[in-house]
Amino acid sequence: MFALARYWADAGCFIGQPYDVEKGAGTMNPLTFFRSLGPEPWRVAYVEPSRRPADARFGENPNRLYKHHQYQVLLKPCPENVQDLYLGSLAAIGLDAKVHDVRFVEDNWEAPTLGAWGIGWEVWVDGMEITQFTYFQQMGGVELDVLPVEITYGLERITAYVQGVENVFDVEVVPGLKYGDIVRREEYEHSAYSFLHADTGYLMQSFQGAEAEARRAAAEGLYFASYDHVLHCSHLFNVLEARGAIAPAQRTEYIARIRDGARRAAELYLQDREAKGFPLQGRVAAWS
Amino acid sequence: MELIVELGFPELPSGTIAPAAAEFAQGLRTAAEAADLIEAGARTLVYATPRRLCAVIEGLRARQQDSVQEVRGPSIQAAYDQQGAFTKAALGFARGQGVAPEALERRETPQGAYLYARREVPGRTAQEVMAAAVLDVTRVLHFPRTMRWAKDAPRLPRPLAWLLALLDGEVLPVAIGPVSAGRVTYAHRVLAPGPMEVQAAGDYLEVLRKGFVEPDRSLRRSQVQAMVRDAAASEGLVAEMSEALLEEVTDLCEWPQAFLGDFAPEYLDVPDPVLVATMVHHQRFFPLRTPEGRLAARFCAVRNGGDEAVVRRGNETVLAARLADALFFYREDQKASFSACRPELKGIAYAPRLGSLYDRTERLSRLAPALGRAAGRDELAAVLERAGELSLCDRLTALVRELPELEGTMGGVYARIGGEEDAVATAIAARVRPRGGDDELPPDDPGRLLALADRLDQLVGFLALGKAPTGSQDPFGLRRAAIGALRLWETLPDLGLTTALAAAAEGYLDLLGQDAAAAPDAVRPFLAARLMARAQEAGHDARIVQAVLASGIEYPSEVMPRIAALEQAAQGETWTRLVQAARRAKNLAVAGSTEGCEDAERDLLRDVSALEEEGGLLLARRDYLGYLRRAAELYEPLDGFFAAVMVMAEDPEVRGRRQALLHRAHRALSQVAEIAALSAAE
Repeated sequence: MFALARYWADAGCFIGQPYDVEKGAGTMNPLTFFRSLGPEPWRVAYVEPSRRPADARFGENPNRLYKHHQYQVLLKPCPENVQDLYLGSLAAIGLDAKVHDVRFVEDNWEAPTLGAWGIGWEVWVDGMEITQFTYFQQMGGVELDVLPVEITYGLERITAYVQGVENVFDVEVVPGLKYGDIVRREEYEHSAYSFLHADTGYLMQSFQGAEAEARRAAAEGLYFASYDHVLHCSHLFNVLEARGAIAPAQRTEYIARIRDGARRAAELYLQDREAKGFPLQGRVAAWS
Repeated sequence: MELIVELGFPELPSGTIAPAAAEFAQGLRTAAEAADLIEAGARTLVYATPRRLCAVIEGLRARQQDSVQEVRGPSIQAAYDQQGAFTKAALGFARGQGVAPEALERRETPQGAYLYARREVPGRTAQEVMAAAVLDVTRVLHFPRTMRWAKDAPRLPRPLAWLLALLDGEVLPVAIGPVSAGRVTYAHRVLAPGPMEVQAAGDYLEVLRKGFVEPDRSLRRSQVQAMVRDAAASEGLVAEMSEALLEEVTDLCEWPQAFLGDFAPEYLDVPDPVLVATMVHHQRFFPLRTPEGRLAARFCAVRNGGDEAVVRRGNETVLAARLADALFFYREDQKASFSACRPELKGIAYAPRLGSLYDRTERLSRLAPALGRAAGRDELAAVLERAGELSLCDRLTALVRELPELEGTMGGVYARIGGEEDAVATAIAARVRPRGGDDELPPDDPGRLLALADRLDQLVGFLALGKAPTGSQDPFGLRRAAIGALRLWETLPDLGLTTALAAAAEGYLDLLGQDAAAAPDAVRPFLAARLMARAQEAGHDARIVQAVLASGIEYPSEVMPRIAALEQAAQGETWTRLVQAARRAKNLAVAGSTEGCEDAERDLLRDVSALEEEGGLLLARRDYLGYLRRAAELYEPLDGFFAAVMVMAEDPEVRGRRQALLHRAHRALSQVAEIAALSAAE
């Protein structure tokens, strides 16, 4: 993580921090979601804890986690040498492409709840998928004219690979201390909660409440505030789905409701930036 | 002259590389031909790797022939005024053609005298034509999925990274979006980083091969094939090489190097299909077998660079993790009884309004034996009922959740472990086949009947809800299901459509009521449309196929033989008579009673009855051509009938009787196809 941060800071990225609302992926952090929109250039890198209730495995699966960590990089506009930049970042964490077999295998990305999709790859190092690499095409339902590229590293897997262990819980975080010592109970509890104990009635009510609040905040033009509630909706939906409380027919409807919220926030952001004359254009020499 | 154009990309999706390269080369060639710029017999070469689509067009002429263009202008009357001066019309025409009015020439034509402009048109250069073609052809290349990557640039599957375009060594003046043509290419990303110059098309292969790229796709493919085969053979093993995997691996690397890897022998406890799926689908490894056909605890993979020992170790680690998962799931799955978990299917919806997966197994357990009975296989009832009940239990297993492509296969494995009869386990495994157009059919009748039940249940359910596919959208996979059903049906000649669809609809009566009862009327034309598409893809004439389908598809397996017979009959000498007989009979045919015939009518009735009987025997033997020949013999009796009697008699009773007789004749003639719809010249 330190090495990645140093590398991307040298590439002109703002080193951001995780956003303190629960979410399923680093893309949902406002530093990516909002800043992908509009013509303003942007470069950011940060760690994002990502909660995926459906991937929870009671702390028993060597690779699957309720909460995993992504290292997220967003470069906009996409630099021409972006693949070489990326390979440089791998070398910085000890995965030199001269020694390892690095492949870019087609994998297009889509986040229906965000109204977002892109074209790209999963990156394999010696047969292991360690990165999702995406040229965004749409975000918050808005077509993107200035092409942002997102690079998302799966931190647990990379660390396990670099340390040569097969189980992410066996990663040594401090000599004598393993990752499993810290998170196994948490993984177990969230799995048990998501799959077995979550009160679906309460969650559905909360979903409706958050949805209404997102709309109300948006009506006041408060897009950051509104978006927080959209994120909350998204997480509640993920728990409800893991809990098996959402029939396939309802699924589409829930997704559409979350997407509507994301779209409202995106549109408000764009209006605001436009009114300000897209002030980041031409500001940072390293981004042009 | 020689043109080389290479579009450079970051890694393209593997499946798109070969077709796009071929289309690109063909497009450039066609443009050169259309401009009459290419010598006959000149070669066009195609190169393709994950990072480049390249075409070489040889035998280009430097420029087109100059030509003379003559354009007709105004008539002489309209061209001069009374003073003999040019009119406005003539002056305007000359200006429009870019010639002096005095240079216009007078020509006599059959329509009278006109002024003509005669212009020398200099030939365009190859440079000019091909530069435009590069952009035009790129713009219309077909890819399954494209992206916007630069303003005012054509959509492409990945951002264009470089454009190499040389005509006899000179850079072609063209740009695609922000990327201008040059003489630079890039070879292997890691093994030979940085730009490389190409002097002319002739250098291309050498430059790239020095840079660790094999641009000739078919050569790269055979390299992969040979390397994998030899690596396996060096250990006395045989590589399992499917076409699909070989193609994909070829397009995932530019400089293939095969290597062998191991996994722990304890993983061989995992059933073969799981090992193969894990290696092939997830890792793109080639599984290895002993000469006796047993899977070895080894694999062969292809790398595109890196240090072999490091890459091997990494790949082994990844495979080990996946196999550990698989073995774990395999053991977990066996902790619960396979059949006892069936009630849990109640918690999984099949589709809105179509009940749960449990409901579906109930339907399949009734429908499969019903189909068996209708196909004359009563004795399979018990096996099919049990297989139907357990057919979806593997959806509850961890292995199938992890590796969905193993659905069915694992059902068979776990059913056998759970002590089910062999025939039941085999049928469960066979239910999912054929998965696609070319996939193998189930090996035996129980499997085919269960697989057919599965597809009919799907078709009836979704079509009862009106969810027919539209255009390219087929979200419930109904077209594939229909094609699968028809392929399965070819192995079940005695199974009638009416019985089968009624039985499938019955399963939905509780859930869908009237919609279910009406569903067969939606499924029948849907299947007919698939038959039509299949027959046309196979190159059969649309009208012949339509005529066959119009006479019914009650026994779907007969449709293709009927089409073949009809095509053959249409070449025969009795064809004209057959068509005329059918048409004449059809024209006046009305259903009714043939009671109380007169002599002429009685003769025809006798001949029609004879055709019904003898034709029926021929049809029962599926001798469709024989039937068609026999049917043509009705021409003469019909002819005699029309000569002897007036069909449209005044007495309504007589008229009705004669029309009814013709109706029967028409029916007897139309058992293989609606012949009256065809023309005698077919």
